Amino acid sequence: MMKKPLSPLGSFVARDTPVARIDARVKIVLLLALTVAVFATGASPVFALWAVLLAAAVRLARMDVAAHLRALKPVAFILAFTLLANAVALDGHGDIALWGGFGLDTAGALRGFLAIARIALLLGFSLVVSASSTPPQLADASVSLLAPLGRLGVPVSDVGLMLSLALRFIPIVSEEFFRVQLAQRSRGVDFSGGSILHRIRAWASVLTPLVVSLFRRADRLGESMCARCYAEGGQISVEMPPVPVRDRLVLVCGLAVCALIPTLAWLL
Amino acid sequence: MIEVRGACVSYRTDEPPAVADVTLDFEPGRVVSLVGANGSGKSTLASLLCAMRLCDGGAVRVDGIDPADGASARREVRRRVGLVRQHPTEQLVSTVVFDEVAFGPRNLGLAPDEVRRRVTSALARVGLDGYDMRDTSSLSGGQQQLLAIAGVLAMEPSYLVLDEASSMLDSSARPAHRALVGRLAYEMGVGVVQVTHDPLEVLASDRVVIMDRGSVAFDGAPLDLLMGQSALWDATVLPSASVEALRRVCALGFDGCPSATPEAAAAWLVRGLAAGRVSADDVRGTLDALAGALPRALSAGSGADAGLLLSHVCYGYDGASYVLRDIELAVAPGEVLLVAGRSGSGKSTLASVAAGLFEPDAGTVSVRGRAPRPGDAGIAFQRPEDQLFCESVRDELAFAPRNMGADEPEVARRIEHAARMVGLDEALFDWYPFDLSGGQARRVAIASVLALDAAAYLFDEPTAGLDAAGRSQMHALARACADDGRAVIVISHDLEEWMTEVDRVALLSDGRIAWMGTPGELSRDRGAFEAASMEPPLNIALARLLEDALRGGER
Repeated sequence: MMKKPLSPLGSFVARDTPVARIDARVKIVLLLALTVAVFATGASPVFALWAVLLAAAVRLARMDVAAHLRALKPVAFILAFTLLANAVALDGHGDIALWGGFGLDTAGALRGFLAIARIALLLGFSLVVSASSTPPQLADASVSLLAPLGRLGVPVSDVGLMLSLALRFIPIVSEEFFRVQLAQRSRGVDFSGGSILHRIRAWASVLTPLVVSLFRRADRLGESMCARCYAEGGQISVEMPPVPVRDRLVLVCGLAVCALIPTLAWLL
Repeated sequence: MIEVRGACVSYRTDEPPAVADVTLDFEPGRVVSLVGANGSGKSTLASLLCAMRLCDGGAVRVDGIDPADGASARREVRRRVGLVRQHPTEQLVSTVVFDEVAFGPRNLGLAPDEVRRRVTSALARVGLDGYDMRDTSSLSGGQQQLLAIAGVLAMEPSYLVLDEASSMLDSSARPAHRALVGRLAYEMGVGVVQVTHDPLEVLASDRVVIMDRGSVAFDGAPLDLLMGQSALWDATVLPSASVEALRRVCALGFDGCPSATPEAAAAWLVRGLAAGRVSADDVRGTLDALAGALPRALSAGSGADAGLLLSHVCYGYDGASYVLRDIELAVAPGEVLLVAGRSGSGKSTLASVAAGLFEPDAGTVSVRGRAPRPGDAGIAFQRPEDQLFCESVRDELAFAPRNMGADEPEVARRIEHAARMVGLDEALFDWYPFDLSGGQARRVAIASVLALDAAAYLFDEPTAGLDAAGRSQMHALARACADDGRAVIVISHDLEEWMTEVDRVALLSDGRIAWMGTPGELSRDRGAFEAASMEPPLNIALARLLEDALRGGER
């Protein structure tokens, strides 16, 4: 039997939370700064500060932690494998020898752990941003941040429209995916068992009609846009209000933290 | 004025032209219905009117502008002639209502203040005022279609082409759609051209143009078509008991004033009865027409243990709230049950649970006496043609039986049987499914489900988007499956269409079965629709009006 449909990971939580009230432009800039800072932070007890920060952000965004952890189950396997591959030594270079050439390499384990921790942190922060901003907020913010590139000839408004269309289509595609999968299950397709070849065939029965219908839809959508006088390279400017003072403060503090933590880790 | 002069369009040289030498005029402030079977050329003609396509021969001019003159003329024609199509997903570009409506005006390069003014007024026109900041995907299908219309109105067009824009609407949303079309034409002076199969939309228009194999087969007033060319009407417009009744009242002398609608005809009849102009027998004859030919009463439910049985079934997606509550349903082999209800009442979920695709949270489902696994009950989802994927029609039909482990002789037998059931020509077996026309693809998709050779079949809105001929084939198919010894459930929001085709009706409301009985009982039971918080279909509402008038006359 079928599991009940889940809402896509990190989809917007319609709640008025402190994080949701922050301007999306600030959130995107901070996320970029965090990405650099997390990688710049070396192995040090200070690294734990990031986890504390993530916990605080998750709490302020009032996200459903349990649901997110459940959705991350498939990734956990890959992460565990990464850790193991780094920690286990088969050629005898491990500093804790267990049996023959087989041993544990503590330096490798630390390296693996750090890699996993970075991925988990970045995923966590990204989910906080996506769960606390609506798709159009993210699209408008990206366009507004990219605006200076317009002077270099980058078609920013087209990029913005594409971004907005992509965001609009994500729920439509996921709904259609479940619909076709259900229809094929009712025609006796078994998605869970069988050989690899069998499974590839099973998924082809879902992905083929999905892709065909998406192309068809994209075609018709393009026609509808033409019918509404859309012309490529048109000047559609999105008016964004200036970033409020409170959010500017958030930005400055956030950037300061992003500079402080790697520096501390380097000094201590 | 849109002037079409000798327009010709050919898609392929080896086929007859889609539009052949058509000459027509469309005026502002009038509603014209463009009618015809699938493939008659009506959609192609519609796309010529709004310059989405240029004609191969002849010319189309909109207020004197010829779109063939160049890109800027084409843009201006597209602004003047707005286009709204069938599916909201094929025309909405934004996730926010305001941005959606602002898309057109922004493309026209209007100033932000003007854009805002137009968005506000267009949203108010369609009745979506105050929705500016809503997420477009949170709107219902009917609201999304209104939003698509608002998006076009914000460009302040002189004409509007509605290409089957109402065909996906719930029957309860249709009266509002017709009223909106009337307001656009008669209050705003927009010239509306609607491609449609809906008899009530045709009757509500000023003029009907029937297309047949690329040419104009009729051009005139709807009543002239209904009364003067009744065979042509029956062949192109969907059948409707209310329209049959209108025909009868016209024969009694009703002249289509103030409007040529079944409602106006019923009111005329009631006034006539009071004034002694028509007899009680005339009214009874009209009542018979409104009832249509209701099918034979069938003993319900007794042998259901061999068919499809749902007992105390509850189901919820998130565990917190239930979509289905305590469903008790039994469909015997040989029986067709209609499950009707408003959108969101749980109809489609009910079908998935009954087919064994979702496990109920409580209660049991059984098909032929045991819990169904996927494949034990065949289910054709809405737009089943969207699930086709094989290299040939034959593979498509063989897919389900092969999955269920049937051997090749058995697969061949089932393909042959399923193709016969849906009336699929064997010459199509080697076709690529994506090359089929809409109606053919629907039949292949349904045949691919019938090839399961299941004890029960569920059809979810099987006639959505089909023309008159396609619909009557689906009606016959549901009956043929039952006569073949299967338990059949049809899911539809359109009671008037299906009531005369089924043995029993279940009205679903808020996840519960609010009413169940035969179509005859449903047409007599005045409390049934209120119990399911549904509006009665037009034929039943009018029948009640006439019954009341008769009773009043006897007193």
